[in-house]
Amino acid sequence: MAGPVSPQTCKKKLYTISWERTLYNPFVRKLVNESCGAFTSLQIKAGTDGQISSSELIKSSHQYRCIMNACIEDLNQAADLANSVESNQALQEMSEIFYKAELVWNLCEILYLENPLGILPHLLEWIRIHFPNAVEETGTVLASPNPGLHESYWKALYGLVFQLRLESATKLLRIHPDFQSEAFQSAYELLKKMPVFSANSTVSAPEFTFRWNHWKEECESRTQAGDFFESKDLELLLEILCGKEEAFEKVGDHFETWYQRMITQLTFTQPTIGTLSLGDEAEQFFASLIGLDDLTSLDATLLAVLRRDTRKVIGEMQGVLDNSWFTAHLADLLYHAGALQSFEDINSLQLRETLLRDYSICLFSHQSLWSVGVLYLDHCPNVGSATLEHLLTRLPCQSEMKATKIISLAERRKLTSVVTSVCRVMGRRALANRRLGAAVAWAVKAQDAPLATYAADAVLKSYLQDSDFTSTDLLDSLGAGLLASDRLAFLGKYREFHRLYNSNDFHSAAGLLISLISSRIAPKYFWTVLLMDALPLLETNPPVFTSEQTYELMQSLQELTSSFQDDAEINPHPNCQLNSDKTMLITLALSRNLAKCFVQQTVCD
Amino acid sequence: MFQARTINAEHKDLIHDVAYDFYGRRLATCSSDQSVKVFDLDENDEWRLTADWKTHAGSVWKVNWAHPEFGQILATCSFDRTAAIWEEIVGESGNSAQSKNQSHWVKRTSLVDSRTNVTDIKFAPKHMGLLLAMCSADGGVRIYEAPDIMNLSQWSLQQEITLKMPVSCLSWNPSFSRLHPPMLAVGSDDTNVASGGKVFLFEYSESSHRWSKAETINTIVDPVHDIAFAPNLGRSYHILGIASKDVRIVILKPPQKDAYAAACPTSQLEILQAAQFDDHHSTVWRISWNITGTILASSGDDGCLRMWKANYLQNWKCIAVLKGDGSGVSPEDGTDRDKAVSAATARYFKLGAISNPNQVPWH
Repeated sequence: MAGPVSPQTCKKKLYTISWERTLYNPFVRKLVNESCGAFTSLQIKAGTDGQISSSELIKSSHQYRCIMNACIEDLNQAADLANSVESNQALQEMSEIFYKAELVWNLCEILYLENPLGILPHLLEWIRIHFPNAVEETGTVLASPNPGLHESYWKALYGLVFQLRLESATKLLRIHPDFQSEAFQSAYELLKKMPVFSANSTVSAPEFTFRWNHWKEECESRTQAGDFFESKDLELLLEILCGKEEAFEKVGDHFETWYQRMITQLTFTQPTIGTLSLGDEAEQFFASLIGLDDLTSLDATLLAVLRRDTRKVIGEMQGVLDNSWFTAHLADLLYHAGALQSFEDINSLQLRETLLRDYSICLFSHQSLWSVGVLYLDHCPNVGSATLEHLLTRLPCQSEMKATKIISLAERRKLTSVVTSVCRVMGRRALANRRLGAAVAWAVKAQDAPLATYAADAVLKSYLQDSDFTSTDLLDSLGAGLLASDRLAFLGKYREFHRLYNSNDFHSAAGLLISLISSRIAPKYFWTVLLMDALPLLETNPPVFTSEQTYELMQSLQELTSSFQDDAEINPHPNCQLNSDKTMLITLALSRNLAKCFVQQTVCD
Repeated sequence: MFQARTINAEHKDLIHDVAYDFYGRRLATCSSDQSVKVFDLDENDEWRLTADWKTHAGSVWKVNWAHPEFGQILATCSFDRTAAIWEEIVGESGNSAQSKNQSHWVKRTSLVDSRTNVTDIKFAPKHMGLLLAMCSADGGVRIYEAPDIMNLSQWSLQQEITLKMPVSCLSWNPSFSRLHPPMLAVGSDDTNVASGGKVFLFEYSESSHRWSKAETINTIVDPVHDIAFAPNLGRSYHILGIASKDVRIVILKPPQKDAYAAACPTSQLEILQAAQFDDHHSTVWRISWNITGTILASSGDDGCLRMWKANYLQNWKCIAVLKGDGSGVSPEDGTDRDKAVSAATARYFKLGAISNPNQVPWH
């Protein structure tokens, strides 16, 4: 439906749009959590100076790949158990994406982290891992009643040779019914004799090349001599061994992918090829086999990896994946390996940081994965702290538990503004929900004086209402926190007055009451309450208030009666209203107490 | 790639603004039907209407949430020449006829200083206190402050600035750093191209306690309908998104704070245009940033919502196009995405359909 939206729909509907991400899938959670563990342990190993051996890096890389493989397995299992076609399809698609990601990661590991000499054996290993079908095929052939005559016999044999599984290949050759023939014996011998280049062999590259050329000449001369004339299949095998282009044309459909075929062909033509020429070789190969017009993003990524064009690799993977899990972890690994190049416009540190931050932000959008995101920001030296500060305050803290978690994370990272902000918000919410004790506690933690004052006022008002304090435990445990605001300090002292009074310590209670009034710490609206609280103390005999203290009380009563109208609240609580009855009652009690004081003084004198 | 969910707002007239709260769990809408509605995400992550009340005696143009540190507070502005501050009261309904999910909003104050249509209202970043700015069609920009943050019924007019053209929108710079003075951007929808630049930048001076005009962006002479600073996560410069006849992204670089600059504090902002997109092929009405300031969403008369993202080089690209009904259209340029990293951030975006004020009599 194109064109502008009609005004009709504008009135009625809102659309909320959110990103859908693979990472939020419950089956991928393990990947998120475990890769975070691998990531942090890598950072610890690298330490502050960033020095880390390549074998440690390869170990980390293996770890990441294991995590990916486990995730692929989980997804496949889930797909099998899925109860609808759609969810099965979705899970399978996801699994396929991770399969491709692992494929690319493995190739990166080889090209960036392994010894760049002898690269081909590693690449061949990569093919062996990802394309086990030759071995599977051999299995089926061997399991059949007459393996030597099985229709897939030769396909299986070629498959083994393609991956240089020479031992299995020779075994398979032995079970052929014609094995005793001269042709088979000759081929068998050549296979056995084939020199194999490996990265950790003691043979130097030139020496290997010499042996290999010698062996190849022998293969060719035997073919020329007509050794294999009787068997077309053996002839083809020998052509393959000699790396003949035509031979690979013939068996082209044995390869599932271009890179499989390329690596096999290189194994039989340039076994000692170096990393530097690999990129051009791959591009030419791809262009002639498939054509650059049919480049899929996986092909483009693999070609970029073979060319060691890191920027292109990252760009391609970002385009393919809906999250930056892959790019963030890979970039970090390459950064530690010193393989993340700086470009004219961005240095390697910035690039790594940008990608880690992107991944972290993506985690923060999820209601529970955010705490994993925090750990990644810890390793972004330039933008991490500011980003974390911003994102942490944005987390909705629906529960006290979540608020406490955010606060402790922020405290550990010295993000005081986050702590204050979260406490304030929690305090406000507690206040709105009439949880006054909690409101006071949060306000104290936030060191927010206006909020603390407001909350303390609310507690006092609720005391007037119910003649009882709610959540006293919280108030009494605040201690020095009461100093957050004067009103709160008053509230604390007033509680103390009640305690003293209840424990019959009337002298201390009276002293405290006087100090509350005379220091003006008590809010004026509460004075009447304080004076009424003084009443029973005034009636005691012998008196607990001294004459000076009684004068103090008289003065405050005076002040109250003369000024009460000025800043009167609109609707004061009846207990706060000083009516004529109360005034009379207090005046009477005060004068009687004064009289008692005089009598006592006279007696003492 | 996207998930679209529909909320039936059921306003009786055009919806002019939709505002997410700080956490993205509450939504407020305002409409020409003079009412405001609030939707909340419930435990099952479903949007539920929790309040619906008449706010003004005219079309309500904008609705804006204060930072939750100040409580649950909304500001609205209207064609009726007033702006209002609303506070949510929990658990005081008492009315049994009301469902217990309903909340109650109380008007704490009306700001009546404007003599014309109030076009925009925004709370300042929380580090400045409980401050808000509103602007009106007669060119007035007013800044109010609540001196006691616990008392929302008292707002004092801190400053009044008058521009020579109607003002349509404003945005506070969210940056908080000693290196940046507080900044306010104001846009005008004056249709007279000859009257010059339509975006004005004001800076606050700590010493004089006054806002004063720092800069006019002269490259934008077409009417401006919306303006928004990007959230700043540790950047040294500011990014300003502008909705005009096209989408513009402007970078504001404060002068380098070296010994020389300190000696002459009046050194100017450097203004660079980072992007200009006419993909909407029509007027752009609203823009909105995600919370990390990495993605800008814009809506225009083509009925589409477009999202823009930059790489680390400030190289901006379209990363998504959505139709007004929330269905996706793939970006025209899907192959060359290595620079525009498609890893997005915020969960929610304002949508095209909700901001189509072109059918509304603005003047």
